[in-house]
Amino acid sequence: MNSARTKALRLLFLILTVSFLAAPFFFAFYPFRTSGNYAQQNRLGTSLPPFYGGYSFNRSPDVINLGIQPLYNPTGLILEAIKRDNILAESMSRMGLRMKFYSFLNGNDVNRFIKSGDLQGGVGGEVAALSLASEKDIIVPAIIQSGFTSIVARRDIFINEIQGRRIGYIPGSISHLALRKALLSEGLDEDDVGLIAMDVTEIAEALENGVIDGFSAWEPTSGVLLKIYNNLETIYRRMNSGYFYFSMDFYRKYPEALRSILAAEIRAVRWIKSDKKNLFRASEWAILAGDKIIEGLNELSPLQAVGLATKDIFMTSSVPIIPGVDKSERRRLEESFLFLKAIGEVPATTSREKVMESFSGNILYFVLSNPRRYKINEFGYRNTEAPRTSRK
Amino acid sequence: MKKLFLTNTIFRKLLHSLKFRIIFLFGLLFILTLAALKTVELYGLPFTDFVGNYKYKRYEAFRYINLIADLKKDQLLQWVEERRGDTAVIAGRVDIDSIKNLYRMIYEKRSMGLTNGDLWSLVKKSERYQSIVESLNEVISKYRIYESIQIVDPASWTVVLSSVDGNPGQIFSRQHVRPSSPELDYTHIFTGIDPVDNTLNMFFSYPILMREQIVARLIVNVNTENVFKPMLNTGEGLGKSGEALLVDSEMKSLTTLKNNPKNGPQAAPGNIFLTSKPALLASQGEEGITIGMDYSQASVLAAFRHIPISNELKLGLVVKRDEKEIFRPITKSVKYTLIICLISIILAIFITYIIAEKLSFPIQQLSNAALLVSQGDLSVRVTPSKSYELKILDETFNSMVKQLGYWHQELEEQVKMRTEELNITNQTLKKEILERKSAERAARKRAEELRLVNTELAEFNYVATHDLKEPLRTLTNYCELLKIDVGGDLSVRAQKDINFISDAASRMSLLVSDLRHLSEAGRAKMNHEDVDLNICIKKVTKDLGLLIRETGAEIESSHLPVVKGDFIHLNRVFQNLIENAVKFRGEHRPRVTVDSELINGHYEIKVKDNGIGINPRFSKQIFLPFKRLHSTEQFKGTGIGLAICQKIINRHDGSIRVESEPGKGSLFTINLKAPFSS
Repeated sequence: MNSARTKALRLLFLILTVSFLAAPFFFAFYPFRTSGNYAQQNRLGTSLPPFYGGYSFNRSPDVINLGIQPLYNPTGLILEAIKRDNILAESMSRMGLRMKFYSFLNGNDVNRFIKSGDLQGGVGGEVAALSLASEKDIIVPAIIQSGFTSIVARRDIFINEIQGRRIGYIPGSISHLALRKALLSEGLDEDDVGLIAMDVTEIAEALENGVIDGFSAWEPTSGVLLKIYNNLETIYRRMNSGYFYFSMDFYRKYPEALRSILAAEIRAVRWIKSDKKNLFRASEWAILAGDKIIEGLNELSPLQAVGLATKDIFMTSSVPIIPGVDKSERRRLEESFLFLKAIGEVPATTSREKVMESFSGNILYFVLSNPRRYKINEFGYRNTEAPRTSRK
Repeated sequence: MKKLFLTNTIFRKLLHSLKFRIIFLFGLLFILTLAALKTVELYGLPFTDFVGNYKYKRYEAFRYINLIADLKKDQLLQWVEERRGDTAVIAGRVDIDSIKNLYRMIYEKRSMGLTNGDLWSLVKKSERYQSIVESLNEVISKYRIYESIQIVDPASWTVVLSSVDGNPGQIFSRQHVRPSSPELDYTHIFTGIDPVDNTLNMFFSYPILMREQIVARLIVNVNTENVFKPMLNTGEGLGKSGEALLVDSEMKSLTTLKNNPKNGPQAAPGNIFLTSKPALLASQGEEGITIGMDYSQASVLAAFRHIPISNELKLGLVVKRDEKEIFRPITKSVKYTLIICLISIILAIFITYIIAEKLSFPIQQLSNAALLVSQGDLSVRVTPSKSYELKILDETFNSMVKQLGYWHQELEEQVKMRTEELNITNQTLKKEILERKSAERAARKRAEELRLVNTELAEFNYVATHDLKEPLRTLTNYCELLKIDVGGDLSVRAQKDINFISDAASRMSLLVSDLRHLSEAGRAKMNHEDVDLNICIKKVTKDLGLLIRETGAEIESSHLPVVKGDFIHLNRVFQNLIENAVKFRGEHRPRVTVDSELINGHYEIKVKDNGIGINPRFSKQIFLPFKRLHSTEQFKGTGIGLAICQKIINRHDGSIRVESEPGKGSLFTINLKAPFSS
């Protein structure tokens, strides 16, 4: 009996010793891999944000309702300038029209209200623009911005080590597309990571609570969170375009109004790029607009915000880019279209050519070719003095 | 075969030796510990912050490459912004009236029907042309980075003025990346092959406006190699293999590469299309870091950046460094560690050998001493070791052997004493044995004498019974003859005497006959055959037919067994028993039942009657010869019948007994071994 117990103890000791010594080799060389797509099981943001409920859209024919995204840079800055453009207000007034702006968290939400007829137009990333173009008769007359969607993760994680990590993302958006591209670049797919669906406003909390190891989001969310959390780092970025798009009904009814809006966009870009002060002012306006959506998210000082915006605005041409002209943009649109088909947002039978017909540069050409008529080199903005903000 | 066996034995001995085990275990533990430590050092500790040198080095390299890529990108963007500004400034300095006059002159000369060559030759010689060229050259010498400056017609993109010779009249062909919206008033930036020196250049084009209408475009051009090569230089920061390279959206390299691509053309700007992963990702608008193959098929750590220069021109920047070079310090460290490990292992084995030798020597000494003790040498002693534990062991061994010596001596004395005692006892026993043997011999002699007497007695008995029968028969016969001869002359008394003599002779004859039967029962050979007792009873019933009829006796038997024995003798047993039962009857009609029972492998055959019975006092005596309980007057007989029965049954290894009470009949039980019983 004793001999058997001694043998057993000796064996146990041997196993423990070997296990202890073998453990480092095992952990160093074993290819750990998680399986299963978490995207469906772990969705945080599923319903529309409550503040959308407070919107009362004016359905009067003399009112143009536009959906904007204050948390989408540098579009947010440009739109805030357009909101305050006196020249645009005057031209609208001459046409007997008024403009109203509504803030949204992402392009898919803007699309939802354009489809319901509450909005006549809005801004969204390339994925949102293509998604709407595949469902509704719209016109995409201008690119409003070029920027990056970033995949941000803890400092000790690089893109080739993303396997098995929990990543927050906004499903069916450029955030989702960028994440797929990043995974693809390392030979991975969505099943290799823990995807957790959420809105941009939920990312900070998810990071704070350790729900996610990283996230995929556009500016300013990624930039702001990188400034707030020192342990984060950008591990991958994908260029994307933001588009201005309108329902075809609106364009057919008010073509001149649309041209005026595009002129205002050209003015806004030129005005912001012409002087750092203007950039600073536009950043402050965007911060205030963002605060109205979710207070405290944007914990940056205007100076820090300007720093972020400067990088983004540099990438935006002083002339809004005509959609579909640039080769790399065409390639990105193609990629986004395939992505939408792959995730089932766009039916497999939808023709790419038909969708691409919505992207038209003629209106923008016309405006640019008539600088005097559309006053693209004249500037006049309301409230250009410093807004009251508690931040320094 | 023998050799193999020997090798096998030596190997087994070695394998099981203490020294080998110590060296093997210590060596293995040492190697495993070293390897585990090195692995942890290289790959980190799981579930902790310690990531290990390999990962750390990779992080460090990635961060550094990332940083350089970001810096280079910012530098490039800044440079482009500066050039954009330069172009606007230069365009602003161009005298629009001079341009207008130049246009007018070209128009006039062309309307004169001059050929292109003559036309541009005349234009170039004109004072207006020269003054503009002079001012442009002044700008070029001031900035020092521009190769040339041209003024082109905005509609046809025909060069109307150039700071260098040979350009006027040429058109920016499709080879150049032409701006997509030339009529628009913003700076176009594009790359293309310079029409003069056939090198890859970058062009900055800015509109020259008059009353918000574009009258001409100013194009300044820089040589990509001259400009970007120093800008992309990574110096020593990225090591020998470090490189930063720039590609356009078609993945064409804008600078000379550090190495020639594998199986590719010469690494000249605009000559090579890079298909490596980082370059592809960068040109497609993506940024990040990756590990992959570069254009020369080397595994690199690369950071890639997308640089949107203008609406028409997007560049991809790749900053990379060979993985081999990055990890060289680690590889070197691993190599040296391995060498040190190898030396350490040899040293450890050597030291372990010495330790094992030191440890095993006292044990070996002890083992040798134990072997000698086992062979009977109790004088052997071991030298106590210096080690405390082993010293105790050695001393204990010595004291144990000493004690063993004492015990051995004591035992020897005891054995000697006991041997002497045993010798004495042996003598006595031998005497006793002789005496017993003598007694046995005497007993055997007596038994032999007795046997001879018995034999003689039996022979005498047989002879006597046989020989006595003859005179008895003669006596009986002559008594009968006397009765016939004398007849009625005999007195009643004489007749009575003759009858008495005749009866006595008959009884004598019966007695002799029974004695012969008794003698036969004791000495005759008994057959060992199957005897069906049912047949036996039937025969007895038949033989005693007269007596049975006379007495009206009832003989009943149930299913009786077949036993092993002698039929004639067993028949006699049952005849005697049934005859007795009928003979010693009471007032009732005689009734005899014969049945059997199997008990413990023996048949008990029971013969029961309703006769006069026997006093239980005589239940054993009745089996003795000549024992009679009644006078011959009362019941005829010799008194030998039951003795014959007992002798026959005993010769069958059986027994017979009686249970009876006077007046209540008797029950004779014969016990015989069943044939199947073991």
